[in-house]
Amino acid sequence: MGPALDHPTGDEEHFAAIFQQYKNLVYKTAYLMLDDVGEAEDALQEIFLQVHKALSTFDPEKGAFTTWLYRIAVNHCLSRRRNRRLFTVPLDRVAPSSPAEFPPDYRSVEDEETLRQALGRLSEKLRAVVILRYYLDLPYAEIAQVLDIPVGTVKSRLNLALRTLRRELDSLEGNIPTARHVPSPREVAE
Amino acid sequence: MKCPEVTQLLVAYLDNELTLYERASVQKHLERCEACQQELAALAALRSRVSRFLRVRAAQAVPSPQAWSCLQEKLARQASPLLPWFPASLQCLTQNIGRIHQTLTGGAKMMKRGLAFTILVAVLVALAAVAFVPSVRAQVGDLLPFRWFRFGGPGGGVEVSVPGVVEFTPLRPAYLPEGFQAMAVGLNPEVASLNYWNSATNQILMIDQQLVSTKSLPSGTKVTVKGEPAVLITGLEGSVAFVSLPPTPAAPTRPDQDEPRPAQETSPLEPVTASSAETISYTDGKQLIWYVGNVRVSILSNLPVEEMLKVAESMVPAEVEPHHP
Repeated sequence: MGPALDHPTGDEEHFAAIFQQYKNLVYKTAYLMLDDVGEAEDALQEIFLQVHKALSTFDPEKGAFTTWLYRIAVNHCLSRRRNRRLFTVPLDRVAPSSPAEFPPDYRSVEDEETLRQALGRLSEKLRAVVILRYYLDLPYAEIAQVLDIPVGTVKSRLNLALRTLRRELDSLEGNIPTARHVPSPREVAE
Repeated sequence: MKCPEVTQLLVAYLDNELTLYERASVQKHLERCEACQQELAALAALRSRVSRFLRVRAAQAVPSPQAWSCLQEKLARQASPLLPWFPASLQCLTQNIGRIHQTLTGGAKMMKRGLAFTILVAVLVALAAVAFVPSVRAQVGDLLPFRWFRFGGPGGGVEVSVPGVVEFTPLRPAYLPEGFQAMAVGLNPEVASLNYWNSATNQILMIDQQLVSTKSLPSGTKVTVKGEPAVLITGLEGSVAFVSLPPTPAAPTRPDQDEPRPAQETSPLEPVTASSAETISYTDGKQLIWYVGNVRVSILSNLPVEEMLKVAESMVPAEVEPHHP
């Protein structure tokens, strides 16, 4: 433990408890947002550094703690994706078998892999609402708070996200051969 | 309600997020519209599939057992800065140097070039001010030496200084294929980004280095770089935008040097303005990824694989030892 934590105060113990309670949730959210184990690990560190720094500013009268935490986590992940935006393959591809078994021009027929690719083609904004709704099960009003957007925008983004996913899946699962790792142009969010 | 209105509400209908009036209207429409019923069924199936996929994928994701200890170390470092009075604005500057990339090829919304230029120029000016404004440098340099890094490029190279704590020593390529005409450097305590391009052949070479706490190699063709495991991913396409900076004049004196070096040897960053921007699209991109200690190195390029490997094998530490006259 470093100097700041040699003599744990109530605040530090509180922070440690928060970390232990929410680390899995934050990590999984970051992993889904960033689709990369290494990035998710780094994001977990950075998110909780921000949480540590801003913990004293959290006002329970303004909303739930989880909403506040999700906002920090999602904004950080959105920022990471924007700042490192390269149309490359995610670094932690969870392949169903070893790479040698897949020639460069294979066509994916794995349901999960296809959906993963389709989700990867969503913009950051659309991906965020999909994860907040269909993984974290947040109501639209809370998603709106997390992302600081109107509820109507949440509604339209989710609508656009699912339709975009359907179009991408039709393309990926159809009879159009695609080279591995070749992404398509991203959807304009709005 | 008509079909176009209803279809816009179907996802929210499935999510039970409509107002009572909207829900009643949608239900009434669905009772007599088979097309919208089919659309609803398709969306419902997709929604379930997405939800199931995210849960399965999340279930596989577990943070590293070292996450807490890593966080404690970072908190301890933050609590005991080497330079407590180091201006927060300068700390922010050293942590926010970045590069401009475009990744979308058609139709996608991106950061506007004008804003990107402004941010980049502002960061370069601030960095140069930190590095070269005598009063600032004297205050900082007396208590905390700069670390200088030299990155090869046209005209002899560029030296970049980073004040304060730098978490790792970035690498630079000792070998560059012929014809690369310009470069951009992004540097902060945990990330180094070196970008080269050859506008005559439309080739790019983008070298990213990032300090990480967890190592993992993606799936791809297994290769080695200097005996270390590496992965090569092929078939990438995208586009990048580079800000073209005009050539810099002779270097001013470094803190540990009495006389400036000749211009052809050093050309450190000075306040400059972007002279142009180039967007290069590629369809035959490859990415080479490996680790050097705790630094993840990534080379993205549309060079032939042999050239990429040659660049990777030539990577050496970029730090320049202080010059003692």
